[in-house]
Amino acid sequence: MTEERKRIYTEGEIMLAIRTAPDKDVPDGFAERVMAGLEPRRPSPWRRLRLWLVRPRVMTFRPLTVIPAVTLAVALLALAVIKTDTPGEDPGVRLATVRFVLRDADMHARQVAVIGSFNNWRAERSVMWYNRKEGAWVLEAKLPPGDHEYLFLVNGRELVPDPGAPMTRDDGFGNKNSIMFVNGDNEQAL
Amino acid sequence: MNRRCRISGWVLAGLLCLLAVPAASAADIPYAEAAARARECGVLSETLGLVASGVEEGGLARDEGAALLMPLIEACANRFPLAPFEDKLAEGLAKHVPAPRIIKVLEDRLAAYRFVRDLLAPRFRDVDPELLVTMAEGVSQGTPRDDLKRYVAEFSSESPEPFLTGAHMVCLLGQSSFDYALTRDMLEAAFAEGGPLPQWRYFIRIVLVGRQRGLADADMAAAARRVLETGGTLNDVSSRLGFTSRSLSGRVDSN
Repeated sequence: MTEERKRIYTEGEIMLAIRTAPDKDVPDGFAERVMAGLEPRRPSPWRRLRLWLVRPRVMTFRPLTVIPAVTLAVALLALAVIKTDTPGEDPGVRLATVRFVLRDADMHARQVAVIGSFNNWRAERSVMWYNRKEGAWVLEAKLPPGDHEYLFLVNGRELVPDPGAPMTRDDGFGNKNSIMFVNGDNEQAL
Repeated sequence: MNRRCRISGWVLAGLLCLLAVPAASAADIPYAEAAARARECGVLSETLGLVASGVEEGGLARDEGAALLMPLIEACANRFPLAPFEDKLAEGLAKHVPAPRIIKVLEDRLAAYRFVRDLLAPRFRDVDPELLVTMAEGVSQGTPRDDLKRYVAEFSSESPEPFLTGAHMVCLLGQSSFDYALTRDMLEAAFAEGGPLPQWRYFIRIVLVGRQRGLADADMAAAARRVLETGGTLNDVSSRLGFTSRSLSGRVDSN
């Protein structure tokens, strides 16, 4: 007997067995179980979120509630942006606020800057502003503790020591640098 | 005799060659190579940029640019902190000081650092960089070397932090021509009580204000000594001398 014949014979036997088998009732709940298996699956959370977002909805709100909430949200956002933009200070170093003042009652100078060891002697980093009330060029800066050398650079070329500095030091180049003593307690001199 | 002279001549010539080689290499090194070596040593790009700007804008000749960087390269070779040298170079360039003058100041500073290193090395296995900078900058700025020699000889066995504070005091007072004998008396009292607190480095401020008010250095030192004997603070000294704390510390202006 060839293989093909053997297959046809077997199939015939199976069909005959099915036709001649006795009839039996369907078990209880069979249809429900089959239908439950055919129910669509619960969508994933992401898909549900997407459906929630794209499905049109009607929202109602009271302006009296929404306006303060939006204002608060904007304020918090602005605060976060400002905080991110502010460079962080080294927590290991306590900086002290110091105030540089150069008296110039009649505002003879056109521009004054402080140059010193704390700004790498770069005038553009510490340009002073003129305070008309005080009749003086003023700049506030935060400096680490220690003794700092500095000078005023007037009109971009003239080097002027601070007349009120407690101490001056020969700079080795033929000029005198003013000395500022800064401790870690937000005090300038002691 | 003749042979001995010939040998001495060869030895002398050899020594001269040894001395001449480093000098020639320092003087003849091209600017680009000096900049590259300085960069390798860790000289800040900002400092290199200042020199490069001077060279590019014509304010500095290329060989001047190289010569300005050589003391920094030497400081690096000696393992000295570079920041004080970078700062002085930036200061000189900002003040438009001629390059040879800046180089001289930087070389003097190198000499000060070598002096302090040689002073401290026999007594400390690892020299604290902050101590090295404090004392070397003090020497560069006019503290008598002899003051530091005497201070190190007498107090180098003290704890590191009070010893550093004492070094600050010796340097700042020395620059103001305060007699070292007075400083020494104060420090002796301070170390007997465990050493001066860090705030004592600013004793110089009391001295400067006291001098303006006509007080003698010896009287201020005596007041400080009495306070140090009890482990007191600078405020105690100013009270003893009749200063208000505001006259010393409450001032917030630079003048």
